[in-house]
Amino acid sequence: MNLSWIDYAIVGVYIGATILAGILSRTTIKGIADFLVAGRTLKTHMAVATMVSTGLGLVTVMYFAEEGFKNGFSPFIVGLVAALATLIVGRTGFLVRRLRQLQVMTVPEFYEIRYSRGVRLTGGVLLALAGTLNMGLFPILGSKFVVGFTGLPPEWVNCVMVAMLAVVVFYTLMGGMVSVVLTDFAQFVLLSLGFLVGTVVILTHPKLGWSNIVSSIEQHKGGHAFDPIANPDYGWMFIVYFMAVSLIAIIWQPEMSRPLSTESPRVAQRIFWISSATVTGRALIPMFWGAAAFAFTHADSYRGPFADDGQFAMPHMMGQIMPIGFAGLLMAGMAAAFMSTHDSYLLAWSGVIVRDVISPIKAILGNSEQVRREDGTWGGLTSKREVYWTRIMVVVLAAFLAVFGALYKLPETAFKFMYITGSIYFSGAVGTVVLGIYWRRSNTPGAYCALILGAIAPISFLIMSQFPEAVPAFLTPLVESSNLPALLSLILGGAGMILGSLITQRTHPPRTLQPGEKG
Amino acid sequence: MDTETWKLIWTAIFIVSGLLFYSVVLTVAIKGFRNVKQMIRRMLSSDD
Repeated sequence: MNLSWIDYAIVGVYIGATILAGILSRTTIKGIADFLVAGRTLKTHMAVATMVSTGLGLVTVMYFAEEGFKNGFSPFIVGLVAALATLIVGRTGFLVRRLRQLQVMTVPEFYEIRYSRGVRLTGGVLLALAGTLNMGLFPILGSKFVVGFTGLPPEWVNCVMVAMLAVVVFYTLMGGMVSVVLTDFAQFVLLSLGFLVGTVVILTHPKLGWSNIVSSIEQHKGGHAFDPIANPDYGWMFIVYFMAVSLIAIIWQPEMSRPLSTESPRVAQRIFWISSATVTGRALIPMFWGAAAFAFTHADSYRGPFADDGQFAMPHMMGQIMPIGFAGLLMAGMAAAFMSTHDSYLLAWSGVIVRDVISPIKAILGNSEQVRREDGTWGGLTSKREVYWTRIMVVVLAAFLAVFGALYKLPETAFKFMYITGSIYFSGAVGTVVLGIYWRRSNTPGAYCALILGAIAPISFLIMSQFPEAVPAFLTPLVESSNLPALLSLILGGAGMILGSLITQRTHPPRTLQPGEKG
Repeated sequence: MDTETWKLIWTAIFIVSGLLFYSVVLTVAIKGFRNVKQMIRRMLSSDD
């Protein structure tokens, strides 16, 4: 074991406080708008804290560290591109301002306003599928950090995963978005502190430090570990795709639920402007930790078992180099990072499954009128039933994640898995959301084409990469790397909307969006 | 660009991004704390 009782006490106090916040916030839930978007009451700084916490999960730390371990400093380009995209959104209000004006709680709800209930149902199914798969590795990677860091035996990974999920499920069930934003604030402060402590210890460690890490990476990996253009894992195709997807990624439900919870469209836009300053840092710091773990496990004096394990190496190194007390602080920070992402994702995907899949099916079967009611429902489940079923889905999803994380085999790095699963939804969203907001001729058949065509390439990649020996020769470029199917899916999604809409303009005239409230 | 130039670029970006990150964290933590206090007060005074 690498931690002392002081370290475990720090973590215990933090987890106890989180559970208390969940119990406290239970009283504030009156309906689905309180549960999913905190009654749309978030102010700027609170919203920034909760959005940064969501984007900076333990899984983010783990997969960025894995990228740093594998590719050295080249993946730093990811942080730069993502920051540029967030800056553009914060400056222009791209997508976010309009969606907040429309007062939707989930992104597929926009489909019912702009297109039809059927498009909402299709979009809801795809978003739920993409979101659940995307989240599939979160708990197991988080658990690997805890096991690697504390020095517990690796067989404990699944038990730790279940215990951590149980805490998150408890407080999310209690207070929904209210408890999520409250705990996110504490998590934001704590994980930032953990980041600082971890980075300072690495930089001042006699065997590590910036120059030792740079030398080790250069010696073992060569120039590709610094040049993202020459590195075959990145290159221009990846950069172009990642820029496009970073701009669209704001409609990823867990991210978008924060701007949708703010008190006005102006605040919704502003939180992107402020948080853009944090985007590069929150990518680069864990990548640097990963590069440091590579240097640590490739030093001549290293005799441990993790020199080739990009996922266990970083937490293992942290467990070895952190002093008592600081280790507890880092562990609490990383537990905070685990919880802040899981609570938001569980709530977001459960909300989508209930509001955009179950509720529309009920509405279609009941043939109810396609109009939004005062309480934010659309003629399917009542507001109270939506809260009830969202709570049930939080538990079901957590159980699924525990099983999936334990059984699934990764085709590439965890980071690549995240963005290819995200593409199942993002690609269709290029047509349905971006063109739906900014192109008047977008219509219902175009939306179906965009959603279905956009999802084909990433789903094919995920299936084919599990059985590479059965893939025909002409399809192998689509399996060798996820960069091509990911870029292809964006093009297909956009083209699907344009062609589908243009061909069917006469038979399916587009709906016009109501102006909505002013920002 | 050669490897030495990339090294200089990443060093500079790492320092700048770290400073930006912690300046936002500090500002948001101080200003956001007021929002948190309001929210907790509202919860404690809730009738249900």
